[in-house]
Amino acid sequence: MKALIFSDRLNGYAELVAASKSLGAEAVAFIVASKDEAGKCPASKVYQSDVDSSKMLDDYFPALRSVVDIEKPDVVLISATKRGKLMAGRLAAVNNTSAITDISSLEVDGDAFIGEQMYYGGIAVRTLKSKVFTIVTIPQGTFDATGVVGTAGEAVNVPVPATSGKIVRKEVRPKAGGQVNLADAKRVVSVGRGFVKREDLNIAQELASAICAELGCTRPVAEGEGWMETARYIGVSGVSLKPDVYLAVGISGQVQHTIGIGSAKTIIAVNKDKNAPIFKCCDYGIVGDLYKIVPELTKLIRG
Amino acid sequence: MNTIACYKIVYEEQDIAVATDRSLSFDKAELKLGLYDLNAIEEATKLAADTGGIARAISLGGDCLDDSKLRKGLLSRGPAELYLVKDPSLKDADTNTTAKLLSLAAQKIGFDLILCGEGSSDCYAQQVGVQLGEILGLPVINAVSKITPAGDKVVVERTLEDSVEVLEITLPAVLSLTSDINKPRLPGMKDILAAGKKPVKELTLADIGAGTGAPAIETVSVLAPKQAERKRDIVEGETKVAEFLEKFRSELK
Repeated sequence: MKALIFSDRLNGYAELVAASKSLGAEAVAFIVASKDEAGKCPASKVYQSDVDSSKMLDDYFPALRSVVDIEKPDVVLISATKRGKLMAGRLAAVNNTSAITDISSLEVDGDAFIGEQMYYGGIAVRTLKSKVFTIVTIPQGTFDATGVVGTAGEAVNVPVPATSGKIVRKEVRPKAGGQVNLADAKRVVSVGRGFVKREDLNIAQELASAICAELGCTRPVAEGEGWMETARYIGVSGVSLKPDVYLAVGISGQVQHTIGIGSAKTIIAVNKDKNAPIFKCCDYGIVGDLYKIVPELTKLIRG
Repeated sequence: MNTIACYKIVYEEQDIAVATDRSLSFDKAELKLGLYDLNAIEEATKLAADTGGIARAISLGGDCLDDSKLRKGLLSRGPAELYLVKDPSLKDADTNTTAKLLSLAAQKIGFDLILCGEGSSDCYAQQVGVQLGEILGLPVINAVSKITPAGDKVVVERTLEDSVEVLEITLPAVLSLTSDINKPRLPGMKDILAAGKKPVKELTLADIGAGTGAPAIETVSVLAPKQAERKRDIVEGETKVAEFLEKFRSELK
């Protein structure tokens, strides 16, 4: 069996190789990078296109498509980033199929692939079956990439494709607020609508500093109130976490949020409503006013 | 600029019940317009109004498209016309089928710009827009967080995980949006009354020249996830903070 892998992040390939191995498939990569960088990719065969700074990564779609046509893989595994999803959709369209997106697990079943994904924001898990030639997008952290070592086997250069000129990149700038990597955080303090105003979030920030945690939030806090950048919201369409400790402050615990924290080792909750759903899915909880509890907690932790 | 907003009818997630065998029950669930599709409807309306064009909306599906409240709800949000591709086989159409049919319908209707939401509220595959663009052979970009008309082009901002790209895109084109591109309007009484007079055009698969094909992806099961066992050790009251902390203090070292 053969898997073709593609990521818009150089450090995304190890996980895709791990995913290929879990399927019992040989990993063949398409990568947009220098020859040196591509040589570090731990796939058995690497198709490499040079980086052309005048082009967007999306402009390399015809190259990806041509590699798929040459290699005829059983499955194409793509990192579930925004660019990855665009590539997956375009590849599916030209092959008359649908991609299975954002899988949480993937298995081989005879001549088909079985993938699981969230449905209605995590209310359910949908199990999908797709015959050979399947396109899958894989969220970061789904497969364990530790132990994936080695360098590229055979290397093949793919010419940089010509572009139509219908999409012209005028500018690229770093995203405001910088990059947050909640997915890798060991501890997270997360805030919800229990906070009355933006300035009050410093209470949570103090607690986060005291236990060396990252700060996260629910979707309404990021998108409804705009109190935090969207990269910090947890749950459906946001970040999924696997921290050791997750401390939910003023979060009621709607399923759309809690789906993002199911893999946390320990969940701790502070909420004034003792009937809040968060208390049904936490390890330790305290019912009461967060404005009194959280500063006290921070003080006791700092000793 | 003539625009088309694509949308999907979904269940109100708050009304979905989970049975003891972990299956879902939609019996008591109301239907609604997809949450993220509201951004596409709003943006299509705004862009058409700003450029003297016509905003239209399109959906496809089964019987759920008959709901007159939803038709009115859609039209009260701005679009001048509504197109519905109805067929019983489209109840759970996969993304490829949906994109193919939308491409046929859109070509029949005519457009300069097609807009899709960030994802559907049920599957959230984020695939229909990108497939639709590719099938139509048009420029297609996802994660668009701002659109500015510029003659026969649009200038858009695309918000990726680590950066924002500013792109100039030649029309016609297909764009998928982010959910923070705009704040969808709440229709007023006047909008709702006006909506009743706007045209709704129903199309069959034959009308748009579509054949039927088997979906590429088969749904095996839909089940609520197994809940991880949690300790659920809860204390009550603001005086219990020290006691509360002792329970997990060792995990913070």
